[in-house]
Amino acid sequence: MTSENSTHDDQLIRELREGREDAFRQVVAQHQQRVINICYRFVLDRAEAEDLAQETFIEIHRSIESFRGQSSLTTWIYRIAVTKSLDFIRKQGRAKRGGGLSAILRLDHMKVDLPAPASVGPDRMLAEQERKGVLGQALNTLPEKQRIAFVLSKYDGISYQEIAEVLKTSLSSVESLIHRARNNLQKQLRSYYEKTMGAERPQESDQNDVK
Amino acid sequence: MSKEENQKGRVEEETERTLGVLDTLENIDVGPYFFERLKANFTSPGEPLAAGILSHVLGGRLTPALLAIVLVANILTAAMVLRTDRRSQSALRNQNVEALADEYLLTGTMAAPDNGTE
Repeated sequence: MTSENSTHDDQLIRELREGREDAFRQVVAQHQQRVINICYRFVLDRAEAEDLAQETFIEIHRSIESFRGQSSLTTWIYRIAVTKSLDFIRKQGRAKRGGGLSAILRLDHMKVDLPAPASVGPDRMLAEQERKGVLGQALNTLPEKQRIAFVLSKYDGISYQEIAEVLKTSLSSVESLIHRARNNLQKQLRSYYEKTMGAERPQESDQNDVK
Repeated sequence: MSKEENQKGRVEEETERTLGVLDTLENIDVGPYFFERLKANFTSPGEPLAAGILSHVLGGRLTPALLAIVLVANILTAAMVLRTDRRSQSALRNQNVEALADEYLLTGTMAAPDNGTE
């Protein structure tokens, strides 16, 4: 971080602490695009990503007093976005496991789904959704640092150096985490597809027998 | 190509395609009302907060605790209702006894019988 950026950050933080709306608006304008896209890469859902981006900025506003300046403002914001996304994924997992009451009260159905882009057909959208689900499950099996490094590395808007700062680690560690994450994901996905395709094969042979 | 080789090829293909989902993920553009929504969330913090608490309570770890609280509250309410009912019944019984006593002149303040000395 250059000293010019640092001075600019310091002034912005001071104004945020004073509760100035123009300063907050500036922070949101500067970071909203990257925050929403980081969240999107974790939760793989546009509407949820937008909600999480909102929560991220609310958290920034609430906790600016506790920001001690040990990292840059940008890194701190990314860290909050990542934490919010991972918390959401954990809560979602818990709700699926113990969501009896939610299901009874139909809380799950209160969400409004965004309409599908017109260019994508329903079959393709369904297949894409299924693929996202499979990837999401595989990502859930990764250790947290591997997951963060891998997911963030897939977003062009953030550099390896910034990922290292978010994870409070070195650049070489980030590269190693990404490499290990990719290997683990490949293993998980191969095993998943071997099982599902293995389950398809007897059906195919049954059909051949009928013919 | 044998069936096994064919399946292995398909497994590899699917694995790489799924791994590539994040590479092909489009960038989201932030909606024009993002900041306005954010401001609205600040000005009416009760709504999202209440919804968050509700979903946490109903869908999360607190469900058994919530059920236990509801159960205890039910038991306490039932005990209180029963006790109040019993109290009001005994009060009613006393009232009836007093009314009957008044009616048949059995109370202590009953006037002395007229013996015709006057």
